[in-house]
Amino acid sequence: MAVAHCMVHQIPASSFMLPCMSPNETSVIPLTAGVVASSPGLHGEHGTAETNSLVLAAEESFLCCLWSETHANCSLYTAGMETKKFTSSEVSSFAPQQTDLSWNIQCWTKGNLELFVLKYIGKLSLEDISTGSLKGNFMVTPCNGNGSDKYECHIPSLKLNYTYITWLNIINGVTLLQSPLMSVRPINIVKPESPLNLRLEMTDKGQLKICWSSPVLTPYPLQYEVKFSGNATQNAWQVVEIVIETSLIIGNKLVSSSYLVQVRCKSLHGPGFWSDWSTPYNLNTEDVMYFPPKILTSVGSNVSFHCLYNDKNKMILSKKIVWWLNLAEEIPERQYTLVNDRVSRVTLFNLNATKPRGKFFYNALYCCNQNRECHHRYAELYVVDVNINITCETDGYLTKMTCRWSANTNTLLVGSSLQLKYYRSSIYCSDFPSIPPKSEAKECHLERNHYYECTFQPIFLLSGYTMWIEIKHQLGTLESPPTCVIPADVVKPFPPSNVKAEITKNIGLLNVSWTNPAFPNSDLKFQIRYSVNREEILWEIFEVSNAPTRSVTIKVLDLCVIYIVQVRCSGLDGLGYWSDWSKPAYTTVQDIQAPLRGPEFWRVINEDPIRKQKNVTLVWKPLMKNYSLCSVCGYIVKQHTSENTTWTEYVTSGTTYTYPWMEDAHTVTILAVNSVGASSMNFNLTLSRQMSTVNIVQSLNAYPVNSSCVILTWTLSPQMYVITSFVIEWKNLNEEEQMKWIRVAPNISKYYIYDLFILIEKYQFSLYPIFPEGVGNPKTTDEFIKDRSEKQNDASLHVILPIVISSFILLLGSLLISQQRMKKLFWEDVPNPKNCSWAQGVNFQKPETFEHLFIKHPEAISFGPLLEPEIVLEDISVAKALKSEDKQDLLAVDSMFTTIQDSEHDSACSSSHFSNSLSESSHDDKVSEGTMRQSNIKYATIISNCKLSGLYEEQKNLSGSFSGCFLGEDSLVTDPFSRSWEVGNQAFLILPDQHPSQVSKTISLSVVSSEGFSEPSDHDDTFSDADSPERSLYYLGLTSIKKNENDIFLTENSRVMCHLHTNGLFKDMEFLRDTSSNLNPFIKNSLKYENSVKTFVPYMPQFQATTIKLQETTETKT
Amino acid sequence: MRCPSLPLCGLLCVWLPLFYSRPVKIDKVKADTKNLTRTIIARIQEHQLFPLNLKINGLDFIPGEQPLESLDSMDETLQIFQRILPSLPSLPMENVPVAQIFNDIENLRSLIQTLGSHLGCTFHKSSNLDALGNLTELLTTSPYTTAVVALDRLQKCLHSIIKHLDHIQSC
Repeated sequence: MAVAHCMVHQIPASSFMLPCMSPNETSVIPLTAGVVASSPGLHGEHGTAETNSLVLAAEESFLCCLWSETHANCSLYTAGMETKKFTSSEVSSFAPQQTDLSWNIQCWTKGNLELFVLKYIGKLSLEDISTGSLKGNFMVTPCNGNGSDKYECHIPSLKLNYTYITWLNIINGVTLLQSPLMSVRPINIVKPESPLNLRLEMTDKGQLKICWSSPVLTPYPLQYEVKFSGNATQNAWQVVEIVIETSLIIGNKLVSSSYLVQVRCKSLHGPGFWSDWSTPYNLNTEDVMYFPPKILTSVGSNVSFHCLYNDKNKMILSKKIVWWLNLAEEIPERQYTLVNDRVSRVTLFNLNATKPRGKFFYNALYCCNQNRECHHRYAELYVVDVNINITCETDGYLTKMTCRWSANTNTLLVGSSLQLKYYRSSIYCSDFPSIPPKSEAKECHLERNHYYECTFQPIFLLSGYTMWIEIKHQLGTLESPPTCVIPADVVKPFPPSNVKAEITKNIGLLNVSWTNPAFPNSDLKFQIRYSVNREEILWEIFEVSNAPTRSVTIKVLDLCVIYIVQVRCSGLDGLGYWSDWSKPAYTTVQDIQAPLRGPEFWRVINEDPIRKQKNVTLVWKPLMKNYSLCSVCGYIVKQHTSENTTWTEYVTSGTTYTYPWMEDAHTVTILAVNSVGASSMNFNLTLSRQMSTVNIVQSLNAYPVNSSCVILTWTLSPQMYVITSFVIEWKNLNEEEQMKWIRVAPNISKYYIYDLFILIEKYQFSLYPIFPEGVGNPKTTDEFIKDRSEKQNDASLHVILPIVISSFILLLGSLLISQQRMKKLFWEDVPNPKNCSWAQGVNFQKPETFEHLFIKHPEAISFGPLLEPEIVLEDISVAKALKSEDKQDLLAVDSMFTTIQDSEHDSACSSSHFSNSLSESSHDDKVSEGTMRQSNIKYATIISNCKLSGLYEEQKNLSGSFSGCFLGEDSLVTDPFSRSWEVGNQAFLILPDQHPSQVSKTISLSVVSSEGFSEPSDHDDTFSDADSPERSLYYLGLTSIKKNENDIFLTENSRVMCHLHTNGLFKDMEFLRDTSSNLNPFIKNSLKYENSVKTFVPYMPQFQATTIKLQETTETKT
Repeated sequence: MRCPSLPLCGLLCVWLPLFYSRPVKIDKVKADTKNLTRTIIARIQEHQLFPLNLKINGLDFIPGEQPLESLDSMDETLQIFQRILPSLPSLPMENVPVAQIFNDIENLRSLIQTLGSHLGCTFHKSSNLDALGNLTELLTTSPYTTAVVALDRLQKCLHSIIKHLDHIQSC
């Protein structure tokens, strides 16, 4: 009825209203009743224009209007459907009157273009509402209530460019209300989805821009509207701009305050609705901002971050920004870029994969102030290892390629999805595979072994499949390095079939044959593995390339075993994989050749007393497989008599054969027989009664080695016969054991018999010489000779015993020598107590310990053991250095001397412990010249830390000084002495130890240091022995060092020997006595140093301190 | 006079790897062509149990009777088989991997075209393709005959390709 009565309204891209018109009541509404008008609906929510429609109905004609705020289109229909149009100016005449019911309707097409929505907002509480659309036939779509007075009707599967006629039926109780007809083209009323993913980005120039993503599935261009709000609570939005791109540069103007940003979109061309506003984005720039805030990238790549640092409303200048990684590592400044005054950029190069730290799968990047203050916010850097290896394998039919790849789930981000993508080129791969713009995805399945498996079937055998893995994450998409595979290059063929293996007859080779697989048709190479079939299989590999005969022969060692053989194949070009091994094939053991030789045999001759004949029993050893090749089915015993008669006997079982010895001499041969034939090389044995009396074995001895070996030796007497071999028999006489025998070569005279021997048992050994004419008389022995082993032991004793004895003698001798040496040390070399003051009262006969010898002297206690290697001459200093060669006199010595009066008693306390320089200096010829002189020798070790450089400038000075020192006729300046000075000795000591009454004495002075006590010279002995009452040896130990700049210090290494002419010395000594009063303070000083110096002064109490102070003597002389 | 030869040698040495690493070597292409052809033949033979010794009338549009002596004719013939193969009924030869053979022929055509491009050949679209209009009708009336004859003639064509491939000097 309505269709007949009302015109069809074009639905605008906005809300509109229609008056309700009951089909049954159409005639009731009088034309004169005025205009049925609806109150205008407010649809500011969608921003649509307000539209009203009005229907005027009359008995014979009715008026349909569709109006908006600006204009109205009304049509007056008569009963005959004649139409009269009214202009907008005419609307006003109908406007004042209203109807009771209006339709507030909004229609739009959803952004995905799949759903047409008709939304009704009615003022009545309705029970049911439905729409009807007219396109060829009617479709009825129920509408669902949304709230109290809102209904939505969804019409799916639209065709966008079609025109749909729709109307609403409303059933309110029993009343049926029907809307006017409405026509619509869904494409004209599309309402897109809201823009997505609103975010803030930064341009390369450091400008901020708002970016968003267009809604999905919009096949038409869109325009966008962006609005900003300065405060989230304000409703007054400010529309900034309508843009076509999906971004809007906002610069840095809005930075430093808080904004809300929203975007909506609408079709760029033609009518349509604006979408809903997007979710507000809070543009808060009060703190640090990173651009981008998160980056997902792959290993080895380079990334850049921008930073805008606003610290407490104070913008940090970009040049003051410092970047830190994970709060632990400061990024070097060379990686920074100052984009502008406020924006700093850092670039990280060649990134390594992020190591997960607990739940954190990213690196935290901080933008900090120069004063090392950082904001708590950070940028997140996710570096994923995308090097995923894809391996492919083509099956034996060449129809299917299976690719496998695995991803380490530990390094992948949670929420990542992996997909294999590929691109196929027509043939072959490019040299450098790259990811093309177009690609296809391949479905892969995760297998149990954590491998993804993808199958291509059918395949293009020679096409290049460029494949890579796409890793999708909400942060971005990564791609693994692409790899290109040609299926023909990764073929794993089927294994060869019909594998057969056999050992070839007569030749004795392992022959393996097989059938090639049907595919591939290219040339193949093969590997054959074979092994003796046993529990522990040890494979041997034999490789052959391109075997056109499909068979190989392999040389094997053992021909009489079962071999297991398998074959596999692969492409000859080396591409692809080896096939699986074929099913195993086994060889069979069969006779390959006739036995190589007959068995070794021997005879046993038994007397048959009853028949009075001799029986010969032939015994032989079973033939081993390596001779039988591979079995023996019987033996042929062949006899050949001297009368040229031959008879044979075939023995199928057993290894013995007995026959009566009828002929005087006959030759026996035993042949081994298998399925191929009889052995050609055989042993012969001639039995001759005549030869059995020939005795050529002179002696036979058996030596037991151990329970498993006995040595048999024999000697032969000179003979005329040719020996072909020997046969050794042995058996245990105590047990009823069978005789054992062995054939040995004729050219040996000793043989090791390996058997189980019980050495306490009695064995009988017999040696039979075998001649071509017969078996000779055996030599028999039935006892072991055990002396052989003893003799062998004796031989070893002969070697060891002299060594032991000589070692013992050597030890004894060394002990004796050392004893004498010790005795000499302790008793002979000890000074004569009469001459040694400290030794007086010491009981040298019974010293309890070595130290007791010296403890006795009370003043010597503090100086430690006598044999201390260092004897230090304490505090000897030459007051002034010798500066020229002309200085020939002793200049000055500050030291502590013993008084001359004591010299007679305090001498030679340790004569044996001084260096050889003593012997050199106190040469006997010089000393004992003429009358017996009393020679006093003084030894000292002198320490000095001071260098002599200031004193002795060069070597010449040194020798010069010594030449001055040894002026006397007996002066001895030897080369070693001067050499010792060259080495760097830095002290020079002269001890004027001459008694005034003893003129023309030579004084030797030796200064010994690091060498310590050295061996006494013979001359010393001469001194001590012959002249001990008169001659005194002076020992001087000085330690403390006075560091006087005018002093000379005698160092550790000093070795000074000086012969002084007494005349000259006396003068000095007199002078010294005069100045002795000056020495006392010096002594005190030196004593003070005792505690500080770690050296010992063993003989200190023996000397009286005397100061020799010749200060400035040298200078005065010059 | 010595000097110019050295840079020339150096230049040649520099260029040598470039020539060596050319993506497609013509010998390899020939070898691959032969191997692939043999593979297709093996695929057909593996499942076709009997040789076709009869002469079948009415299927002249399926090539295979004439020897293929030029690259162009090879390509043209393979094009026809590419049209025929997908239409063949699968019932009489369910084990024959028709889809795989189709892909193999695609690869084989690419190889032949690569060989042709090396010789400077240009390939044409097969003129007989239009004559295949009644293929559908034939397949409905005598599908078994069509399938068996098509595979048999494809095999013959492939043998012809192997036979003439070594001797082809021009297009």
